[in-house]
Amino acid sequence: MTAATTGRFVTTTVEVEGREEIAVVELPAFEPLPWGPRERLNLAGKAAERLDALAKVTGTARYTSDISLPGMLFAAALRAPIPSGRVTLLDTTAAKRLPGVQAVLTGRDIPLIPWLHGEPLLSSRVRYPGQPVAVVAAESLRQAQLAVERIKVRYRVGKHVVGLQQFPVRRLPGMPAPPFTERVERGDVRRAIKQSPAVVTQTYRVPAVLHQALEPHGSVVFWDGGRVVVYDSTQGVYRVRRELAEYLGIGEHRVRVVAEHVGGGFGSKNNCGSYTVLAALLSKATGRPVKFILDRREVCLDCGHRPETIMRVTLGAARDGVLQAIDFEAWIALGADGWVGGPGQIARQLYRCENVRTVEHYFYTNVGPMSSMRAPYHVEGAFALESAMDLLARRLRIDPLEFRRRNLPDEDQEKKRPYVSLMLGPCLEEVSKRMGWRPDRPGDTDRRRFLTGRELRVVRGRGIAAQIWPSGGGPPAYAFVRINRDGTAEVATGTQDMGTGSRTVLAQIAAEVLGLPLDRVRVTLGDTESCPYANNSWGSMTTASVGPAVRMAAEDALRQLLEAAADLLNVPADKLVARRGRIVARGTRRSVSFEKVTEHLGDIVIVGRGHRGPNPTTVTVASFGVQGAEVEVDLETGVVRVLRIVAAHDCGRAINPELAESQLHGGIIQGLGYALFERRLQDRRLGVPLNCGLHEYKVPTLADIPAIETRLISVAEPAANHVGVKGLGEPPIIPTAPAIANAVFDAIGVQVTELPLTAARVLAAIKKARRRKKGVLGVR
Amino acid sequence: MDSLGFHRASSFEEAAGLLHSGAAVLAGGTDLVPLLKDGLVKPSLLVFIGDIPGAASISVTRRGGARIGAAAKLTDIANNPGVRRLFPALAEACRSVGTLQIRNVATLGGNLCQRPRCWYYRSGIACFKSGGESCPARDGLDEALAILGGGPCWAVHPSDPAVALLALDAKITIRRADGSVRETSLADFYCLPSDRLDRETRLDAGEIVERITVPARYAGSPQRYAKVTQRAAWDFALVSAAVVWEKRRFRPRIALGGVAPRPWLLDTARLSDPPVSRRGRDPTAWELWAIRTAEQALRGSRALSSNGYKIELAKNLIRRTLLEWRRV
Ligand SMILES: Cc1cc2nc3c(=O)[nH]c(=O)nc-3n(C[C@H](O)[C@H](O)[C@H](O)COP(=O)(O)OP(=O)(O)OC[C@H]3O[C@@H](n4cnc5c(N)ncnc54)[C@H](O)[C@@H]3O)c2cc1C
Ligand code: SF4
Repeated sequence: MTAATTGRFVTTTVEVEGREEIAVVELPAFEPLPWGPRERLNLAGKAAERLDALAKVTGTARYTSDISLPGMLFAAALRAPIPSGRVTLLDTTAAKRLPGVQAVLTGRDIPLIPWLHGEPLLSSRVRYPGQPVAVVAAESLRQAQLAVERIKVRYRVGKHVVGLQQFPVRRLPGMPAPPFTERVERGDVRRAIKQSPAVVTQTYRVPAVLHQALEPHGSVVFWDGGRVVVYDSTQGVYRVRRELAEYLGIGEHRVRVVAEHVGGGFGSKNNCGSYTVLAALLSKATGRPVKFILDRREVCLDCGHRPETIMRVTLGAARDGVLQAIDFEAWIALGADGWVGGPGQIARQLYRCENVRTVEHYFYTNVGPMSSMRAPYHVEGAFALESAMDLLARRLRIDPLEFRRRNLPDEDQEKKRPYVSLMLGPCLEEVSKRMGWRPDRPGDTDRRRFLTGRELRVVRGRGIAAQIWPSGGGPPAYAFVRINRDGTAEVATGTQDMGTGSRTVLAQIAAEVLGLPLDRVRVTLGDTESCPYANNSWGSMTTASVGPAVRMAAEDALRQLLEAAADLLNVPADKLVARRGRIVARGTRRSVSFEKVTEHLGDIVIVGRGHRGPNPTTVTVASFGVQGAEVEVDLETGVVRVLRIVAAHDCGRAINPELAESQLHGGIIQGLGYALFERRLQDRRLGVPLNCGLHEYKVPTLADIPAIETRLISVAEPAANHVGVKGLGEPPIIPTAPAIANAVFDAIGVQVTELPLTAARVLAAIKKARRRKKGVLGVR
Repeated sequence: MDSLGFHRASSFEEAAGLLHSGAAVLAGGTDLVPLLKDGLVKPSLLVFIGDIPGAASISVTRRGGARIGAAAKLTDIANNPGVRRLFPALAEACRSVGTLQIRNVATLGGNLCQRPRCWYYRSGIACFKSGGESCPARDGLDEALAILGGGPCWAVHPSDPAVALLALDAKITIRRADGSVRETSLADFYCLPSDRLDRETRLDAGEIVERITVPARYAGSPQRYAKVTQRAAWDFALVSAAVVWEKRRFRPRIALGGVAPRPWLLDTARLSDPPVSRRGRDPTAWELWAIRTAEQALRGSRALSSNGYKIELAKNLIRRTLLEWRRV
């Protein structure tokens, strides 16, 4: 945490998606004074229509699949239909002879590009169904697809493992032993459990689920002589540039990556995809631009997932409801590859507890590589932890909300330092108030009963769950602000807007600083050629990372402009401020319009440069949130309908509250899908997925979406960064599923321990409840 | 797919005449086009019936029942005032199909002839339905499979309207390749996999559904279509039930969906008579009867490894629906 030198570049630790990494950061030459909670701001903090809303709804916004270049070819891939094995024959002669076919590439025709565990791209060793084996470029997509069908291929099928089939899993047949087990412990968990008067243990399972971004993955690539131009549906233009340059063995200065509009990513578009590399190689081979857009099936097979996970949680508490111990063990089926994050993290952080042990076992399986998905690992962990919390609350006969109130953390227990602000309590109280939550009195079960006629057919329940997420953002992130002769301004930054509204939020920040109306500021992003570096749109980091960079760049530009205005007004520059399109001398009536100053300067160029400074080192920046759910469970069908979700989340200053709330809506809807419908179906024996389309893979429909009441606990956080923001993109998906599951538990008196909460599982639980005469069902 | 012809038929006679092997009827295309795209059917000619004059007509009278052209859209059936008044179970079943966009295009004839939704079959995995020699679903994820009438294929029939029409004792008018017409009851229209594996109906090559007729006998009688789905919209039935009461002899015709490879008609002879006396209905006796009927209805059902919930679900649904008539 301490700086290694005192110069401009210092080595320090930074947080990326909750993990710490050593990095060099650049200290800013000057940092604007933080916008505190009382700062009077005109634009930052108010709802504004998305700058690209009209373009998107009228269809003029161009996504990657809308790109069409002169002479463009279309690519299609031959993908292995088997989960594991070897390609024993691959003959492309017939395919090459088909009309329109310009190139067919197999592993033999391309340079060695290390891909999965060192296996080359287009390897003949198959690790998962859908793995690319060969690619074709042809004059039309149809011709390319026909050529793929004509490739002669034979496979020798190997043994496979698709998921966590037995429990507990020690070793999956045919795959390497658990490649890694992560173990973190504080205190003495064994002893604390032994000494706890109330202990619960339960095992929870969550399925593999898919991102289902509306825009499929794909690239249009033109390798033109010494340059490679890539239009890509990506969450990270700079990351794609770096990875692609490395794969292709060319300099980064020869690669340009563009992503003007992105139709969602949710973590599945974080890296350079094989389709991008292959499109580049096909373009090189043909000398023509190549468009390679995956179809929904390919996306389901080869663009990542949230991994299937089994979690066993033991909690111990004192009689007064104070948590004594958390023992959390998880088994995670990554897929053919993936990164290690940890469902245990939330168990170590969300509630105050001295004795915590988390053990996570990661496995490789024969399905496509896992990728981050909105709040990776936390969503899984929260379901297990928050379900177990309700189980323990019931054991203790303490109201679940009150139980959480008694276990609020008072600091970051892992780093032993305070949070910049700890909003879990306020979020909890807000949800309690909005839901009219009042603890049940003994024997008080009427709340759940929802009588239809004489019979108890439908019961209601309510549940809550909470969330924590590292949300400080951080360096490096850069921005330029250029002021034009006519008094308009342009922001350039190498981030991207995957639908979250970053473009609008960043424009609001720049316009705020420059005192300009929003329509005089334009933001260019998603282009490595015209924009300076910014990180991926991930980890809920964008506003908190790029926002301060944009503000600093705008301040830098303004400073220069004020110097010119000082000349015009004959007032020292430090007495001038920009406000409502004018430069005003403070304390006087003298002012000049913004355009007057820029016209005065003529073609003199004013460019402001800004970047994100390091995070505070003595506090932790995290976003908290709580959600409450009300559900109805049909006792005769097992169908669960969510009636209402109340959500309170903390995000520091909400630059655009409307966009912030739409993040809540999106996260909650996705979380509802996770709770009730979504799962990747896989046949164990055949090792192939069975629901690779949006018909069989069930995302929520409009009719499933309940009343969603959102509440932003929005207080500027000047100690986090000088714009005062915290991240909000991922947090809202975290508590939704456990809140719904807890509401179902409340309704029927027995927990369904596996997601999604299908009719079959709920019916089975109801049966169990009736047998055990538990809860309202037993009262009958 | 090599080449695919397209013909716009101007009459059912003409259409039937074109149905040599390799030709397929195209109505709304909501099922056929996805099947084509997934390579599950490979016709050489599509015979489009949507433009045939009168093919989409719907006429309903209390005396004459309903006559519905095979190409009538589900939306139009669901919204037809006559259907809604006299055959509400059918209107409800049509309305419960998929999404509004689908119903605006899907036809009744196409709906009755749609192919099963088995995950394995639709994923292109070789099985009995696709000419293979096993049923991978039976040995794999079987939670959506049949609890009645299954084997060797266990995929359930997906249609909602077929269930209502079965309870309404509908008739199907079929045009044959030689121009002649035959009529069959909906009950005889469907078959089981043990009879035939390549399709779910008894339509022979060269036969086409021209019209669906609902007899007047049930016009305006008490009736209901109830469908249980996981999602609130755009979902096939986990289990569905149509209950239609005969007007004179007070007895229900009950059909189930989502439980068998065909829409499943309960054998009324095996069900006990409802407790109706001249003095009206005794709610307790009625309730006992509903429970008994639900049990009888599922007699002979058989659970595979994980579809047993459907038995309970079907019983509950039958009981619940019958209870709606507990009081007159
Ligand atoms: C997203 C989605 C959701 C759906 N949800 C439901 C649901 O909840 N409930 C439900 O019941 N259905 C559902 N369906 C199925 C849908 O109702 C059928 O696809 C539709 O009714 C078929 O009608 P069509 O006119 O589009 O038929 P087509 O797709 O044109 O044809 C379907 C099949 O029937 C044959 N055919 C068509 N007309 C005739 C005829 N007159 N004579 C002989 N053969 C014929 C065709 O050759 C083809 O094999 C859903 C479909 C989709 C795509
Ligand atoms: S249930 Fe029928 S359609 Fe499904 S795999 Fe078995 S045979 Fe094929």
